[in-house]
Amino acid sequence: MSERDHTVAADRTHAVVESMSALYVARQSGLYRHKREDGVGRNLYQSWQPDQAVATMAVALSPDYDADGIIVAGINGGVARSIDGGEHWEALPFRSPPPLVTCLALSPSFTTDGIALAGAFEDGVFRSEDGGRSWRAFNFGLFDHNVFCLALSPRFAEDKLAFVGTSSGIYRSENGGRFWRDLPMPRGDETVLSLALSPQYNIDSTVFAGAEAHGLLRSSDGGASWQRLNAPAGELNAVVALTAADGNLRLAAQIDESAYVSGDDGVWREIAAADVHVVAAGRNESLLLGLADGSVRRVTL
Amino acid sequence: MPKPKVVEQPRTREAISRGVDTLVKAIAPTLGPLPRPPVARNQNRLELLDDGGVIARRLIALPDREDDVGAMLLRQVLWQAHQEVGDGAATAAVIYHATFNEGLRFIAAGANAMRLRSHLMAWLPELRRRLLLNARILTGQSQLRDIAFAVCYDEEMAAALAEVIDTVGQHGQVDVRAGHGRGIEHEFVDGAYWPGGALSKTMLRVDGRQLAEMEDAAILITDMDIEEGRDLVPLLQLALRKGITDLLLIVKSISDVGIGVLMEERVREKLRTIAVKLDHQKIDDFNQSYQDIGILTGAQPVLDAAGQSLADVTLDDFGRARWVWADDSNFGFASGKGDPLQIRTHAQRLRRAYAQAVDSDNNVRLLDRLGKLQGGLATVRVGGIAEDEIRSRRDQAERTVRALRGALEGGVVIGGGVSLLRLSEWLLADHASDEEMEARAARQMLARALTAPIRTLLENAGVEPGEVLARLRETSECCGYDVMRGDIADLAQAGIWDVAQVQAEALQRAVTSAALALTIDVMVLHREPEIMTDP
Repeated sequence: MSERDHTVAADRTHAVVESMSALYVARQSGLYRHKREDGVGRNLYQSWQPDQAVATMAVALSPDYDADGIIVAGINGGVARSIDGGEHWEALPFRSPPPLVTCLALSPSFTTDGIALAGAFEDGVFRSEDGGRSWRAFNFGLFDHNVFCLALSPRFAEDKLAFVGTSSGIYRSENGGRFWRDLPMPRGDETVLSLALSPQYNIDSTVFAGAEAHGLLRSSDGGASWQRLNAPAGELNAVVALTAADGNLRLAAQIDESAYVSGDDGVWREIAAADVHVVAAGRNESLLLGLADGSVRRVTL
Repeated sequence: MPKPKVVEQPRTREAISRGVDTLVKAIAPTLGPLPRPPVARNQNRLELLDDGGVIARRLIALPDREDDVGAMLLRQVLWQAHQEVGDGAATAAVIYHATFNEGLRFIAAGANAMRLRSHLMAWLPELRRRLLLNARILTGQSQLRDIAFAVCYDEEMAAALAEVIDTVGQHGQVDVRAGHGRGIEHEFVDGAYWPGGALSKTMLRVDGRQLAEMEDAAILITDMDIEEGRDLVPLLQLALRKGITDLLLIVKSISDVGIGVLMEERVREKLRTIAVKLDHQKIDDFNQSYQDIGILTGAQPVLDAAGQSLADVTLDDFGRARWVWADDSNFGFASGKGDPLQIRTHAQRLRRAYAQAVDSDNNVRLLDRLGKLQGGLATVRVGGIAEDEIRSRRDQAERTVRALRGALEGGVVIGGGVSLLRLSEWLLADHASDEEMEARAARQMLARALTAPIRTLLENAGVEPGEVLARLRETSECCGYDVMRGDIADLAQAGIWDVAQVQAEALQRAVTSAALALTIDVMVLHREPEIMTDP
């Protein structure tokens, strides 16, 4: 396991994503781009909102980011979008009242289908079909509009499968996020803070969910039934499922403010004891940990 | 004035047969993708009738009273199919016709009508089970579009309604309205709305839209008639004390004095209120709306009927919603802040009740309530060149929506009459085991009736049925005659489907009624027959 630190200005981190050449860090004070080479984060909103902090709760890059430069950021009031790698930004119109966007996901075929989903606290799910230019609510079947997390199938373009985690359970959509169906959840595990689909979802139909009350849940049938997994006690804020260098499925989790990785034997190992605010998947089978002091740490599995 | 009379056999069966024949002659040509719809003259207007259910409704009575009894028996079957599943009237008509005519043949040969009926009824559960057993779950919008097309034969309508139903789901609310253009437009609307609207135009914004909107509003529900302005004072004081700035007040009625209090400048500066009423006729509807709005928003209805008053209101009685609106005829909201688990449980309860409901009015009401819980609705505007065309297309759209709901609920079977044809083949495969004459006859009647839809469909397309049916016996289960291509094809691959429930209901209703008609021996015709406007 190798580690490499990326120091950014001290701030609360909400999300981290990685392109071929940089890290993008969504924070309370804005969205920062961090070039690996220089190790310094730059607030990408400087040219757009130089005088105020734009709290950014979520960020997503186009799958073809190096070619199209599209970044979509979830902010308090909706979504901001850049088509030039973050140099210029546009706040996109949302219906009133303005939503607090908590999570974002772009279709793996975003370049061709232009589909993006945004989850919002109190306002449910918004969907864009034009590359993030316009958004509208699609809450059909969604009884709970407090959305904390969402996940798309790796084969979203074909199966149109999406999941959202809410304050009262998980919902599944089979038509690209337009209609939602509530899934049965074990009693007491209804508040779902994080979701992850197996990279081999089309083969194993496995979904992982991090619940506020009782930790980690797994479904091996696309969400129809759930089993509790052994995991360290605490509030499971983030779960990541990824294929390790050895080809095996590995799980990483942020529980309270610590980060853990599950081994082949199913035993959890602590990789950061404190101050972890975000756990996200990085490139090349690595994990990115967003820490309380604003830094981002890479862990290679 | 006609004289009262009693009609006996053989005139009874002859009259029923003539009545059924007359109606089926009008309806059978509408079956299939190449229909030959009849035209009806209504006063000075001509109307193209493209659906069996519509024909059944337009054809109020046959001139011959005896024949009309036969037509009436069939009309009732068709109208029920049209109302409840949206489609299948023509299929039911030809099955009815074949069952009845075959029955007459066997009765003439000595079969007992009551025993025949008993054997026919005994077969129905198994036929229905087999039909539904082969139903496939719908997957995706394109299959919905195929199904919609099989009902309305209108590509634009099929595409629009497939998207709408795919989005709002099986129980979602779909409002079909007359449009202004020639095409079909649809839009999705957040939240739910109820009939009623603002009790005073002064509460509506005056910018040409006459619409009031509020964000993060509190909601209070009461069944009270508010006469005195002072009745509102404790409520307003509580709202102001608790920092409520926007309030949707759902009341039974409110006097001008009461509205004056709400609109008073000093009050309005701190608390903006839209007072609305629910526009219902029945007390049950009021109570159900109170319950639904309460669960969606977290409001506790304050009910005069329960001995409460506005002085008893506490903060817990207020519900909340992210966005609230009202115009002069409706009000609604989106993202109510009721307990999601309670909403989910309520929806599950309504879904169960809907699945078990047998009364069509109750079904409509339950569907409407379920739609309001879904988080949004779709509005479809159907256009056309003339008013008649718009009305006809609107009927067609509503029918298609009902069929699509049925398809989502019970799945689809291979279309083009093939699923019924395969049941017929199954029935005849074990013919030798029947001992009783009526048992053999019932089996043959059903086998013949099950081929009637595909025969009619082929005749309507100008194809000789005998040759095609012979060829189909040598093909796989999924093969049928693709009328549009003019050849035998794999209908599953070609996307030619029928709604399983529609087929099952058509079979069940037609055979049940035809079997009953065969047992009728005597008709009593009154001097002044009751005039019915509904079948």
